[in-house]
Formats: sequence, structure tokens, C-alpha cells
Amino acid sequence: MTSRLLIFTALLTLSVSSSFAQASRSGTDFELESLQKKLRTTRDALDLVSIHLNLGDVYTSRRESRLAAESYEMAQATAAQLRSRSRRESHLTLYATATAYEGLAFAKLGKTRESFDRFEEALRFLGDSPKIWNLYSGAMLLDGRPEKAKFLALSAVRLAAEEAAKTSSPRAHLDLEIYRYALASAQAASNDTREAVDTLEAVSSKLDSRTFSPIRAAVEREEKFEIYSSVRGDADAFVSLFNRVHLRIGKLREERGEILLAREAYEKVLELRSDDRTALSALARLPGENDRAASFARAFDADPSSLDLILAYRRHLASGGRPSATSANRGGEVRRVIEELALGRHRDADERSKALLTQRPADEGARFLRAFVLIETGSVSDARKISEALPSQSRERKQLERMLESVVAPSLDFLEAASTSHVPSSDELLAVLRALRDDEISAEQNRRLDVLSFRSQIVLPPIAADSTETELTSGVIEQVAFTFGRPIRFAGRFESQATLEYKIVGATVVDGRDALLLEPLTLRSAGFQPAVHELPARAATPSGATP
Amino acid sequence: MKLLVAIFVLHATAFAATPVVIFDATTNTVAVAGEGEISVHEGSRGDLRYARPLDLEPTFGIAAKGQILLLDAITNRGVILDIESRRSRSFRTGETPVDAAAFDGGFLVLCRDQSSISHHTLDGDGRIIAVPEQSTMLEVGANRAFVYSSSSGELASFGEKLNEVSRTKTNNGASDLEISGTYLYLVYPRKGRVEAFDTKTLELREHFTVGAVPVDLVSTSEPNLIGAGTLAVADPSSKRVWREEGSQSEMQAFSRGFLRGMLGLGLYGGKSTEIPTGVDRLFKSGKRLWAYDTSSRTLYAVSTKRITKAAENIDHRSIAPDERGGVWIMSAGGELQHVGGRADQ
Repeated sequence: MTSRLLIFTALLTLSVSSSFAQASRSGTDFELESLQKKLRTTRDALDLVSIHLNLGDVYTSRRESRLAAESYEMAQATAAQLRSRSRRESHLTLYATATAYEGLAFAKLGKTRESFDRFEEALRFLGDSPKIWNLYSGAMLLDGRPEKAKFLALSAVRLAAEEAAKTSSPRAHLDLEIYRYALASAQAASNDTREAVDTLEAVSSKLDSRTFSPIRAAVEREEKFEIYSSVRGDADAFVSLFNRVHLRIGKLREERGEILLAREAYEKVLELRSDDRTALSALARLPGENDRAASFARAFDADPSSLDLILAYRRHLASGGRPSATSANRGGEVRRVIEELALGRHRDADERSKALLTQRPADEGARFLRAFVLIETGSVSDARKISEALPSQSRERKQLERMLESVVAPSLDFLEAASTSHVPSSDELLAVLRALRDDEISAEQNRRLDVLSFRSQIVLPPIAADSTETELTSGVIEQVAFTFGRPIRFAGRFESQATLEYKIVGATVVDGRDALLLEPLTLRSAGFQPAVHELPARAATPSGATP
Repeated sequence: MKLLVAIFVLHATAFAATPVVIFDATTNTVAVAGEGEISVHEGSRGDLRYARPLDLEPTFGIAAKGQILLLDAITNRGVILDIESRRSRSFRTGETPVDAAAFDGGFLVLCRDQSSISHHTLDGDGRIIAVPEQSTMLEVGANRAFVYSSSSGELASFGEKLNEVSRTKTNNGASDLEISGTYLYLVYPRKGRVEAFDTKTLELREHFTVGAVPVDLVSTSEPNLIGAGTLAVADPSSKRVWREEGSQSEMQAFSRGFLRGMLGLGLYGGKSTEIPTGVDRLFKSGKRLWAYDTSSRTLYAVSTKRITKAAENIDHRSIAPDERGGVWIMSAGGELQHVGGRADQ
């Protein structure tokens, strides 16, 4: 057993602690399959620990927290058994290594003190090992203690630099760059952004240097593209490091407003892995991107469950951005949900988001999307239930909680105070629509609706020049869709806008949108004498004025 | 000889976190700290004297001259409690306080990630000085404080006013630092040896091979005019506790005499061992030696002829030698126990 598998564990902590460095769904499907296959065939205990940790990270990147926790628990239990066995067999280096791995598993499970104890124990035996210091640093970073992580990483770098100085082996130099990357992550987490960027740029330069030519050649030869957190080979390690370094540079540059440099960094990621969802998502998000619609399409294809993408696409559409072309895949379906929301086609968005969740009930991104739709369509309590079922520390839950806090629950209190003829606001109409749709209207409120009439400005369709009637079936009042249920002809010609007086009799669906069912009473041109409407069963009473 | 185990029920419920147990010889008290509380017990029968709330979760604790120091390396905090007056003071430390020692009327605290030591008393905080980077061990002896970094191998000594007296570059990777007489010992698991330095000059005087993977060392008898004193070294790889004669300035030979006694093997030379997973920590209580295995959480009593299991499923921080041959331990069930010898002697 080589100690190689230790090398990359810092990276797995970094992939979890930050919201990026997450592979595409198809990429992670492949990684999952690959790891599960290794799990079935591997006999080496330390390899098993590494695989379980990797699995946990892949599940975490897919937002499947429960499965991630189970994997980490397996890693911890396997490492604990290995500790005991290695002591019995007097393999003290293995004992210390397994102890460090158990510490890392504890860190991933959020058990800080147990993690600390294990690492302090491991350092007793391997205090001169850069790998142990690096692992320890990663664990502290996971636990949100970047200052400790930074100092621990500095020790790892110092020890690795001493080792690398004695050899020209690419492996030793790769180790050093991995530890430098971990140091940069700790620096960034400590808000030493400038230092972090400098460290990362230095790592990037080194990866491009001749020192790593043999490894780059191996990467091309073996067509490596899997991004692992714990790796066994130099080529795997190189690919993963390259990916993470440039993603991290991109993120830091983006945070500093250095958009062009950020874009360069993300595009460099795509050179090695064209479907990297984090890079694609970031490029779609960056301002100044020429074809954001196409970028969003690519990004959603790579990562349909991304919280950041969902919110970014919603903002893109809300600001008048062009929707992306349709795709017959999950990413395309997610985009359609967001597009339907933007168009007010709430019923369609509701059905589609429900279907997406049914296909992947454990996917936190799908759960977020469902709750997002429910909030936007006014089903706040249902959205809250989904939010509360998410893991408490998940980004999706935190985002939903923020959104739920800012939602003002629609109120029907106005019905009580309204006079017999009321001019409703958009919120009031929405409140009535949602209450009727969800059957959450009380008997008293229903009674008030029976009594009240409402007046609103509406936009009328154009009519033929020689027509003396205006026909209307449905429309929009204050952005709330309505329908009469059947065509109504109003005698006379009206301006494009008129005042409709009506009663609200129910809720229905028109063209995929929730709509109020109205009983029209009168239609009046603004500033003119009242016009009389005509119902299909009666003869017109022509008293309307012609504008 | 059977071990005398006296059990004093402390609490009905077990600690979820690891409690730290500390014994103070000056006041003959034993304290248990953890889970938001410190309880102070009389050191003969373990009767509770008092309990107070504690606002840190200790990862380390020591006692000296009637005062207790507790440190929390995760949150970088410390507290000093005067046992008799019950006065206490909390304070912030540098990053990751991992070791401490009584010094100059107070305590010296080593903050590994801050690379500093600082002096603290019940009345306030004193000097903070820089030490070798990532120093991991602190010991006080020969009127000096000694600090060692396992990552860089640097060893430094400081005088009474915490002025740096000497610094030297040694091998990195030591697991233990001990002072005995005029010698400072560093234990190197990976090199399989112990190195002895002069405490005044920090010059390397001698090194000797000990077993396969020596990890911890205690001085079992102090050097005197006649002999160099003896050391005990825990070697979990060979599953032994080695007894070794301490360094003498007069001796010239290197790598000498590493088998003065073999403990941990069956008396009759069989392959069986009394410590199946070895031991990696040693505690001295009076003239008695105790050994501990971190991997199996087992405490052993060590005599000249055998090693005997004394307690299981306890953490090393829950073990406090009483300096009379026995140890106080906190069992997993939350019971304060005295093991070995008589607590009231």
C-alpha cells in the first residue's frame, strides 16, 4: 500500500467546504459507479477508507446528505478497525495513518473534538510527515477553523518543500503543490485573499512547468478526467489538482471583481474537463458573457441541481434575458420550470417541478426547486415543509429559509373591511386566487366574496374597425389572470383600457396559469358613460358610448 | 497482587465528551472537568468538595501548588482555578494551546499554531514570546522552560524571565520530551531511538536505540551521584516497556545497554504478550509506573515483573496519577475511581 491515497484528502475537504468544485451529474454518476465497483473489489483497508471518504464527497456534491453521512460513518468505522488491527500487528505507521484518516472522517461528520484527538494522536507518531499535517489542516478547514488550518498547512508545505528539494521526482513536487493548494484554501478562508491568489497562481505556474511534463503526458495518454477527492495515482492527482486550482482562482478573482481573469481561469478548467459544472455555472453567471442563454443551457446540462444556477437563471429571465434553447434532458426540464415561473404559468411549473422531484426524491437540488416553485406560487406552508425536511446545514435550506422569511403571506383581511365595491390591489387578487385554488377560504370570507363587487382596469383586445361589439373571454388584472369561462360580448367600442366591474366566483386554470373566474357586471370606458355588457343568452342593450 | 480499586460514584450519567481528571498534591484533591462543570473532590476518598460551572470544554489540564489550569485547544481558551479559595479566571489564549507547565508562580501555555508561549496567573496574563514554529511540546525543568517543534525539529530553552537562552536544530518527528536531572530526552518513534541533550547547552550528548518504535518516556528514578537514574520507554511496536539507564556524562559508548529489563512478555519466554496492542503512554505515580494503550483505551499497572490490566475504556486525559503509587480515573460510566495502592495513604 502506498501512502499516495493520503495525498489528496485535503482536496476533498476543500471540495466540501466550498460550494464549487462539484462535478457534473453525468460525471458524478460515472465516479459513483467507479467507486462502487472499487468498493466491491478492494481488499486493502486503507483503500477502503479512502473510497468511503470519496463516496461521501461525491454524494455531498450531489447534495445527497444522508448517503454522504453514511459513507463517512463507514470510513470512520473502517479506519477505527484498521487502527486496532495495525496496533496488534505492530504496524505503527499504518496505525498513525489510519488514525489520521479516522480524524478526517470525524471532521466530515462534524465531530470536531474527536477529529482533534485523532490528529493529535497521529502527530505523535508522524510529526515529521507533511501528509498528516495536511490532512489535519483540511479537517480544521472543514470545521470552520481557518486560522488553525492555515498554520497546519504551513507545516505541511515546509516539510514537503524539504522533501521536494532533495529530489526531482514529479511525485514529490506534486505533493508539495497539493499542500500549497491546501494552504491557499486556508488563506482564502481566513480572508487573506491576496495571499491565497498569489499562492494559487504559483501552483498553477508550477503545474504548467516542465517538472510535470511526464504526468501531463500520462493524463493525456490515460484520458483521465475523473475528479476525485482521494486519489491513488499521480495522473488522477494532477487532474484533480489542476481542476481545483483553477476553479479556486476563478472564484477568488470573481469575488475581487476581476471578471476577465476569472473567466480565463474557468475556461482553463474546461480545457481539461469540458463538462465541469462549476466552471460552466460560473461562466453563465459572469457578466459580459456574450451568449448567456447558451451558457446557462450548458451549465444546466452539466448540473441541473445547482442552487446557484437556478437563482441565477431566474434573475437572468427576470431582467429580460433570453431563455435558453430547449433540451430534452433534466437540465432542460429544470430550465423550463424556471421559464414557466417567469411567464406566470404556475400550474405548469408546479406539475413539472413535482415530476422532477418524483424522479429524484433524495436530490436536494430538486427539493429546492420544488420549494422555490411553491414559494413563488404562494404555497408557503408546503414550501416550508420541504425546507424543514432538508439537512439543517445545507445551502438549499438556508436559501429557502431566507426566501420564506421575506414572503409576506397573502391575507384576505381586506374582505372584511372592503366596501361593497372595491378596487383590489394585485396582492389582494393574488390572495383570493391562492385561497380559492387551495381551498383555504373560510365560509365567512366566501360570503363576503358573494356580496362584494370589484372594479379594475383591464386591457381589451383590438377589434375590427367596423365592429360595434367587444368580445372578451379572459385577460389579466394587475398581473393576475382571469377568465369569464365563456366569451362575453360587450356592446359598443371601447378604448384599449376600460374599467371592468365584476364578482369573483372561483379559481380555474387557463393556459397552464391559475386564473380567477369572474362574473362580469359592467364594462366602462374610462371617462365615458357606462357601457352595458351583453351575456350570450340575452339581447344586447345598446347604451354604450362610442369613444 | 491484585489491584485495589476503589470506586466512588461521581455522577449517574456518563460524560458524552472526554472529561479531564487532574490531581493536585498540594491540596490532596482530584478534579474532574468537562461538560460545563468542574467538580473538586477530596483526594483520599473522592468525596465531593464542590462543583462549579465551567465555560470551556477542556482538552488539557494540569495542577500545581493548589491551582488547576484547564485549556481548550479548539476554542483557544483557558481557565485557572484556585482550589482552596475557589477563585478562578478565564482567559483567551493564542491559537491552539496544546501544552502547559507550572512556571514562576503561574503557568506557561504553549500555543502551537500561534508558535508562542505565554505566562498566565490567577491575577492576569503575562508575557507572550515567540518559540520555534509549530512547537508541540513544553517541559519545565532545571530552572528552564524547554520547547520543541516536531515539524521543524527546533529545540529552544528559556530562562526565568522567559528570555531565550539557547536554540538548536535537532531531528524532527520526536513524540515526547522529558527532563531528568541535567538531561533532556527526545523520543523518536520513526528512528527507534532516544536522544539525550544537555539542558544547559542543548548539545546532543548521547543517543541510544530503544526497541522498535519508542513513543513515550518517563524517568522512574532520578539520577544521583551513584547512578544515572532509570528511564522507562513505551514501545507499542514490540509491545514492551523498556527500562533503560539514563545518560551519564561520563559514558562514552553509543547505543549501549538497551535491555535492562523486558516487561510485557510472558514470563516464561513465550510469544504471548500481556499487552496485545502495546502501550504508548507512561505515567509515574510515586514509585509506581502505569502504562496506557491509546488504541484500546486500556490502562495497565506496571511492576518489575509484569504488566496487569487495570481499567478499560478510558481516555488518557481521564487518568491522574496521585503521586502515591495510584491513579484516579474517570470510567466511561461516569464513576471516579482510584486504582492501585491506597488513596488515603
